[in-house]
Amino acid sequence: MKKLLLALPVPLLILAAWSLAVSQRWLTLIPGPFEVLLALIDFTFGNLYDDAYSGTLLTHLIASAGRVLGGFALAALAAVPLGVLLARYEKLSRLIEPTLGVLRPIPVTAWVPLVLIVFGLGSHSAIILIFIGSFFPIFINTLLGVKRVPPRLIEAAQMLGTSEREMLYKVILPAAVPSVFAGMRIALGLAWVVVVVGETVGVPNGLGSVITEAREVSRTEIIITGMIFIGLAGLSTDKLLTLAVRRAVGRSPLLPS
Amino acid sequence: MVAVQPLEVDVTPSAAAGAPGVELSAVGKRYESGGKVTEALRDVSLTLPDGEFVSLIGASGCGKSTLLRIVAGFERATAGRVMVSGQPVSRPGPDRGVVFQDYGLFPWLTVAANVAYGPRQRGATKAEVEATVDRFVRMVGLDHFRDRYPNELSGGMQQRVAIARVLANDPAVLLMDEPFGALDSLTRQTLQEELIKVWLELRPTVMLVTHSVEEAVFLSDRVVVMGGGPSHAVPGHVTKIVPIELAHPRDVTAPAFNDLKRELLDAIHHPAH
Repeated sequence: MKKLLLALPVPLLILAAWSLAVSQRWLTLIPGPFEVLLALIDFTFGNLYDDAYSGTLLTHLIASAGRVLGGFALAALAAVPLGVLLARYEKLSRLIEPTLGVLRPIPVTAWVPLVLIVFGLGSHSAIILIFIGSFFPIFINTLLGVKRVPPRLIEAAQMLGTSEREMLYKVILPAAVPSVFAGMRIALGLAWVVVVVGETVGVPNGLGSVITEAREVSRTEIIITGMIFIGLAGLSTDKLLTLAVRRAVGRSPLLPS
Repeated sequence: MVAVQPLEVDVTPSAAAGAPGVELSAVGKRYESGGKVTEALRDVSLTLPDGEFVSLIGASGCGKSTLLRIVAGFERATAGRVMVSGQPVSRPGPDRGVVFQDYGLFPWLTVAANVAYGPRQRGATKAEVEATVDRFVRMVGLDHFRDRYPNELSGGMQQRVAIARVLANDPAVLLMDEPFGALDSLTRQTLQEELIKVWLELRPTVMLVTHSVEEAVFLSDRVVVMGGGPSHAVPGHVTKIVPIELAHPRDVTAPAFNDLKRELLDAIHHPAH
C-alpha cells in the first residue's frame, strides 16, 4: 500500500503537466489525457465510438503477447543449453563463439529486411525477429553465469561427495540461475521492443500494428493508448517471468522479490 | 558428554582398522607454468594418529595450505605418498570434510539443506537425513536458523553451518583452512571453544591451517611449524613439531600456555635450519 502511494506522484505529475500543456496550447498535435482516457476505454471495452479500434484490445494484446512469448520461449530453449555447453566445452566454444561474436552486434532492426525476404510478411517473421533479439542476452548471461561459478563451490561439492557428472545439476546450474534469469529479463524486455518493430510491417494485428496504423490515420490518442498497453504488457510479462522462475527454483535469496 | 550414536556412513569402505588418520610420506609438490618450475613443498613427512588434532602454522607461502589441499584431494602431490585412514588419496571425498575460510556454502540452499547436502549425496533415507541435520544443526547452535539462507547469516554463523555440513558426513578427517581467519576475535574465540567441544565429542582427526599461534596452542595436540617458501629459495617444509600437553579447556593466560606461544613464535621467526 505504502509502495503504491509512493509510486503515484510521478505519473500524476506527468498527467498534470501534459494536461496543462495541451490546454495552454503549448502542445497542439497531441490530445489531452481525458481524450486518451476515452480512447483507452473504447479500445478496451468498445461501445463508445464504434470505429475500427473499438473493443479490439484483447485481439491485439493476445497477438502481440503470443509473438513475444513464442519468440522468447524459442530463444530461451536455444540459448540456455547453448550457453551451458559453450561454457563447459572449450573446443565447442572455439568452434562457435567467433561466429556468434560477429552476429551479436548486428541490431535486430538490421535483420528485418532479410527476415521479411526469407520468411515473408506475417506473424512468423515477427517471431523470428523476437527470437534473434532475445537470444543473445540469454545466451551471454548463461555463458557468463556458468563460467563464473565460484571454484570454491565446486570444491565444496566435491568434498561433500558430488561426482563430476552430477556437478552440472547440483552446483553449476543452480549457481548460474541468477545470471540466466537476469539475461531472460533483459531478453523479454527486448522482445517487446522487437515485436513493435516486427508488427510495423505486414501484420494486421498486434499492438505494434495498432500504433503504426493509427499514425497513418492520425489517431494520436490511439497511438498513446497503444503505448500505454505495451508498457503494461511488458511489465506483466516481466512479473510473470519472475513468478515462473521463482516457482521453478524455490524461494532463493538470489532472485529479486 | 552424551554418548554419540555412530552414523551409518559408507565412505571409506575398507579403511584399515587402526590406520593413522593422515599419513604423509616424503610429500612434494612442484608447479610448472610457462617452463618455470616452482617447488612449493619438499619432503614433508607427517603422521596424524586417528583422532589427533594437529595445527599447521608458518609464514605465508610456506605451503601449509597446499599441504592441506593435497590431503583434501584438490591438488595432487608430485612426490611422496598421501594416505588417509590407510587409503591413498586420489580425489576429494566425504571422508575428508573441508572447512574453508570463506565458508563455501551453497547460497541457494537453506542452512538445513546445506547440512543435508552430504547425507543426500550418499543416498541416506529421508529419516536419516532429517535426524542428521537435526543433530548437527543443533550441535552448532543454529536450530532457530534452519530455514535461513547463508546470506542472511553472520560470518560466524555461516562458518558454523559449514562445520555442521561436513560433520554430517561423519568424516574421518576434518581439514580446516584458516577457518576463523575472517572472523572478529570474539566470534573467533567462541568458535574455537565450540570446535574443541565438537572434537572431544566426535573425535575426528583434524588438520588445521592457521596464522594464529594462540589458536594453534589453544586447539591442538601438536603444532607443526613450517618454513621455507618462494621468498626463501627453499621449498616449504616442516621445521619443528611442538606437542601441546595441556588439558582442555585451556587457559590462554596460563604461564605454560604463554611459554608454548613463545616457543612457537621463536620457531616461526627464527627457524633453525
